[in-house]
Amino acid sequence: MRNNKKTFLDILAPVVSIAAVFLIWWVISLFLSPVRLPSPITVIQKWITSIFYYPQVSLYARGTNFNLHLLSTTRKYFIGVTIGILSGIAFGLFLGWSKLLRDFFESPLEIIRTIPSLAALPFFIMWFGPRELSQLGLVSFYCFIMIVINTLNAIKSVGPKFFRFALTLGAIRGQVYRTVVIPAIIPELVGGIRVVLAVSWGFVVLAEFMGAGYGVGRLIISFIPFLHTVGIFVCIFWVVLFASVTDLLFMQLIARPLTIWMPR
Amino acid sequence: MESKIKIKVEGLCKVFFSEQNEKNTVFVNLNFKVYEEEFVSFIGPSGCGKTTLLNIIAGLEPYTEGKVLINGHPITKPGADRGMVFQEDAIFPWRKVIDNVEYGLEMRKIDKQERSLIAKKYLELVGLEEFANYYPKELSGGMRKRVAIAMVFANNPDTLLMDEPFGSLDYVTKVDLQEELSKIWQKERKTTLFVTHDLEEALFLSDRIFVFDKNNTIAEIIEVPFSRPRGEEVRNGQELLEQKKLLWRHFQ
Amino acid sequence: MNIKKGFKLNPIRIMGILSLLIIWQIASKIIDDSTILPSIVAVMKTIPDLATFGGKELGGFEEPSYYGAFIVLSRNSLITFARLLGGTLFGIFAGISAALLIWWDEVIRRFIEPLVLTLRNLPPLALLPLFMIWFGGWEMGNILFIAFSVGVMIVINSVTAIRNLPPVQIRFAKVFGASRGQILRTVIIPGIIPELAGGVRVVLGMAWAITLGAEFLAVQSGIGRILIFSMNYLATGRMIIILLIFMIYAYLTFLLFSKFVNYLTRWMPNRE
Repeated sequence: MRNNKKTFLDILAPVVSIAAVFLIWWVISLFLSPVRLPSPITVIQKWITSIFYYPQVSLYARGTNFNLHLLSTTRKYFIGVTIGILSGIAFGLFLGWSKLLRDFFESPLEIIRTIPSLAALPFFIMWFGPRELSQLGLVSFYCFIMIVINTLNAIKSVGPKFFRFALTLGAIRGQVYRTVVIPAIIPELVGGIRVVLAVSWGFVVLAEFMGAGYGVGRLIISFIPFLHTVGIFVCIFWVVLFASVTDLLFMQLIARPLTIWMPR
Repeated sequence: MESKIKIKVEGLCKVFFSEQNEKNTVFVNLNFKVYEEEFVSFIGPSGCGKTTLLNIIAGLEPYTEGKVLINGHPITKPGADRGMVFQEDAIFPWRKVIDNVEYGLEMRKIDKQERSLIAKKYLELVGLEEFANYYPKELSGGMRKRVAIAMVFANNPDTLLMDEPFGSLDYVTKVDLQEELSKIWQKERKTTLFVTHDLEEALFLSDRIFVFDKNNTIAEIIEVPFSRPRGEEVRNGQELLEQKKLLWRHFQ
Repeated sequence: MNIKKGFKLNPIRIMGILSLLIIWQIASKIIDDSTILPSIVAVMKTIPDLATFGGKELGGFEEPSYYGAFIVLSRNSLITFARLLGGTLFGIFAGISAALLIWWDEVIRRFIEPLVLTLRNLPPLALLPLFMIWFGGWEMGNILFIAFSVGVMIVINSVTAIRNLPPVQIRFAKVFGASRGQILRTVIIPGIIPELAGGVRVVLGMAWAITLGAEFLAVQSGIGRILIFSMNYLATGRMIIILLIFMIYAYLTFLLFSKFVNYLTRWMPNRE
């Protein structure tokens, strides 16, 4: 059995490897133009100042620093995933209740599922305009579809032995659904949500590429024609930070407490 | 004194069709009676017959033809009156031990205080009162089995159905649990149907043993002559050995 | 292990699909605005317009026609597929190789693995503009982008899959005197395929999304491009056609991959 205690090397290695990456990056950047590969030092400098004062923003988009844009993206993301995930779970549970409903909705769902959710974006843009609503809509749509399917699959894979046991203990259908199905699907649901949370950051940024308004994606797009690669890197750093923090918060605050009963 | 008939099975027929649409006959014309407060074991070669029978009586599986009556009423669906302990580990991993034991009572809307008391009592009976607030994952297989037994007993079913409940446990734990079950059963006598492969187990626990053959019909019904309560002396006694030899002959 | 269980068509399921079509038809009549939702018939009628995609230089036709549409669609489909398959296969190969390398050498594992884990939180779609700047319009850039995104996903899955292999199998092989290379070839690689196969659907979905994303922004050809092109002209009918085509393609690729994977895992006992 692996020794779970973190040895010194375990903590050292990630630090060393990330430092190594920066080092290699820095070395390569010396040979390439800042348009191809800006120096990591510049990127980090710009990253830190990006929330205070970042002149390039006002040249290419609105505002004088990143803040408005960071807030915009974050807002769209959180509203989008919340709506999508919650409604997805609700609809999934609703469908899971009756085999009839499930059969009826499953085929359209399977059909929608094969299409990459991104394909919905042009439709949203056409129907609602390139506004922030379309961007939010895409995130919600993606989360909804993925989570509904995830919930349905989770319900299907609940061990029948639990149903049987509950029934012989006197539980009726509604009680079984509430006290057996819902707790049993939590681990699988948590797994699905984690994935969806990570991917949705990509979706919101891409939707911003194609749309209007504020947002990190808008900044990236506006930097391209001016070949302001440093700015693009800064934006990417922000997104990675957001995604990592979201993942961390989700795992610590929601996932762990809910799955504390799971055997490893 | 003539005991009342608890369970009566008449002309039971069960047929099912496999995925390849083959007709599989499980039982044809099965007949037997089980009396109140009787402990009956079903033994016989492996095959899904005995488990299917138990599931039918539990109301978890339908049957094709015949009558299955409990207290004179036909069995149509599962219920708290027929508690079942499965071979698989089916206690709910997401509930603490005490919440598991309270489950049946919770479903019957018994209020929290009363539930708590009853649950604690049965946890003590199986010797797990210290583990009330643990999650099942922290318990061993044998302990989880005891939780299942406590759960079922706490629900106070009329009839007890047990499908090779100790099958997956090691010998020592098995013997331990058999004795515990015997003790509990002494206190709260319930009509019990017990499926097992273990001849010793059947002889130790039951009043009667139904021997099934490979056609899933009852080849023989054996009266177990040991008096109750049965303790270690019975298990290690000469009589049990003799009976085992007799039983074994039926399997030849 | 059968990845795709037969999608059994029973009457209710058929009703589900039919009702979707019926709702479509009714909604289009109610909305009565072909920009928002054209009727099924109207959509079919717009097929010929696809022929005009691209203009003369990119192989488009001057006049709309069914034949022209067919040619345009075929050509662009091939382009899209080439990108998708090229990138995906490259990515799978690179990803599995990287994972095997991580297994092979403890030192590599210590240093590469934390990096890989950080990559998990890097949404590949956000990197598209970077690839655009680096590779300009060079087709290879798109394929590399797809390969990179798929590769990251595969590495993570493979590393987990390797870790989930029952250690007893490796020990067993060692008992037979198998060398490291032989263990790799005969135990590890076949062993991780089932678990990877389970993630095929997700990986393919990701690959399609990435390809589509690239076609939205970075290129001038391919089915995704036609979608954007139609969007700019508010040609909902054409967009729906492309959507349907996408569905068929996605379904086909998934079917093909599942068959391939089922062939590779034909030795596995069937899960009930």
